[in-house]
Amino acid sequence: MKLITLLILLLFSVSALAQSKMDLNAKFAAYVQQKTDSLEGDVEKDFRDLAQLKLNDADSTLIQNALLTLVKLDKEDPSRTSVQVLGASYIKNTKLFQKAFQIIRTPENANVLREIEQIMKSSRSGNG
Amino acid sequence: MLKKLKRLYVVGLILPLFFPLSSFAENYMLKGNYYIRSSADFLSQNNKVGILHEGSTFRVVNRYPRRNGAEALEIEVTAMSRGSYINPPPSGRIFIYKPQKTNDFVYRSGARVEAGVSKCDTCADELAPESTIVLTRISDTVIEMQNIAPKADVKPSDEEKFELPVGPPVSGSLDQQIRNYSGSKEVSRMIDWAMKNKSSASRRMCYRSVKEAMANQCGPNRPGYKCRNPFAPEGGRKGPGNNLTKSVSTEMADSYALSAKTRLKDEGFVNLLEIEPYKSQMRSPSQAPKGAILVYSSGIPCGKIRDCGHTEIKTGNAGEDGYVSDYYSKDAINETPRARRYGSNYKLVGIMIKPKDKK
Repeated sequence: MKLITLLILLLFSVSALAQSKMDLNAKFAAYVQQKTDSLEGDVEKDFRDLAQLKLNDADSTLIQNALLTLVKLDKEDPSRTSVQVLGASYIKNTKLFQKAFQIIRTPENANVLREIEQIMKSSRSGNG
Repeated sequence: MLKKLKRLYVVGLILPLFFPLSSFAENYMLKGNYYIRSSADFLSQNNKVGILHEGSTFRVVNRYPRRNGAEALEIEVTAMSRGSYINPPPSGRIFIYKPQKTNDFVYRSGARVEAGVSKCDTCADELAPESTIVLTRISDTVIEMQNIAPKADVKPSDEEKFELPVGPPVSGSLDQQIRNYSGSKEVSRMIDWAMKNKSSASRRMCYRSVKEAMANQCGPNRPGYKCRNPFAPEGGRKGPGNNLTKSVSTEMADSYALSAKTRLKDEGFVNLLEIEPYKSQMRSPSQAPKGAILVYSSGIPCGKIRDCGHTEIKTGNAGEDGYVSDYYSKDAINETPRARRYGSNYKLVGIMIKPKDKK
C-alpha cells in the first residue's frame, strides 16, 4: 500500500514537473513571437523558474526558446540580468546549452549569442 | 457563576479609569537620529517638521505598512533628548520612518513613562500622571520631557542640522564631506574612466569595471572583456592615478560585487544607508550623491556564493539620471521601466562614499 502511494506521488511530481516545463516553453515561445520593442510579461521570473529546473535532452526546445528570448530581451535590458539568472543552469547543463546555441545561431544573432554565452560561462565569477 | 461574571464586568469598567488607553500603546526609545515629518511621505523634502535625537522616546498612535516591511509610524513624542526639536505640524500628526531591519527602535514594555522614570533615582516625587514636564533619566542621559511643541529657540539652524552625530569614522559635517567627495577630481576621473570603458550592455564585469574606474588602472584582460586606458591612448595600464582605492583591481578580482559593501569600508568609505539621517532619506538610488558606489543584493548565485549582487557608480547628482558599471544606463538597475513594472530582485544595500574634508 505504502509503495503504491509512493509511486503515485512520484508520478504526480513527475507530471507536475513536465507540466511546468511545458508552460515555460509556451511562455518563452510566446516571447519570441512578440513583435513589440518591450516584451510583455515578467520574463525575469520565468528565467528564475527555468533556472530552478533539472533539464535533460528532451528540453532542447525549451532551452532554445529561452535563448531566443534572451536575444530579444538584449535590446531592452542592457543589464542582462536574465542572462545572469540563467547562468547557474548553464553551468549545470553546459552541453545542452551549447547544443542549443549551435542550433539557433544565425548571422544576425551570432554576436549577441557569443556575448550571452561568454557571460554564462563566467557565471562562477562574482562580478555582477 | 452569574455573580462572578458581574464582578468581572464591573472590574472591566473601572480599570480603564485608572489606566488610560495610551499607557498600553507601544512605546519606543530611539538609538539613532530621525527626521519627524508631518505626513507619511518619506521622500519629500517639504514635510520635515523636526528631528528626534538618540534617546528620545515616543508612543505609537498608528502604524502604516510600507514596501519591504518598513513602517510609517504615527507617533506622539513622550520625551525629547537634547538637540531634538519638533515644529507644530500643519496636520497635527507626526510620522517617523521605521525601517524593516533596525536596532534603532528599542521597544520599551509596559507603561513606558514609568519605565523611564524607574531609572530616575531623584525624580520620583516629581511625577504626576497629568504632568507633561518631568525630568527623567534614560540610559544615563538626562532627558527633558516637555510638550511636543518646542520653544522658538529650540529650533537649530540649517548648519546645526548637519551636525548630527552621524556615526563612524567621520568628523565635521558629513553633508559637506559628501559634497566635497562628489565634486572631487578623483570622482570626476573615476566617472571619466568608467564612461570611456563602458559597453553597450553588461559583460558581467560590473564590480571589476567599478574597481578599475576607482583605481584608474586596468586589471589583466579576460575573455570577452578588455579594459582601455582612456588617459593613455597609446597604451599602458595605469591612468593618472586615483586615491579612491588603495587596492588595485587585480587584487580584488575574485571578490563578488556584494562584497564591495564591506570591502570599501576598509578603504575609508562609509555606507550612507547605515547613517542617519541619510538612512531615512535615501530609499532609492536616484537620491544618492554623484560618485556614490551603489551596491545591490541580487539573489543571483555565482559559484558557491548565493548572492553575487551588483555595483554601479552614480554619474549624476542626487535626483539626476546616470549609472555606470561595465555598461551605462540612465536608470538604476532596480528602477528600469521593466523593474518598475514587474518588480526587481535587486535591492539597494549600500550607498558608499568616501567623506572628504576638501574637494
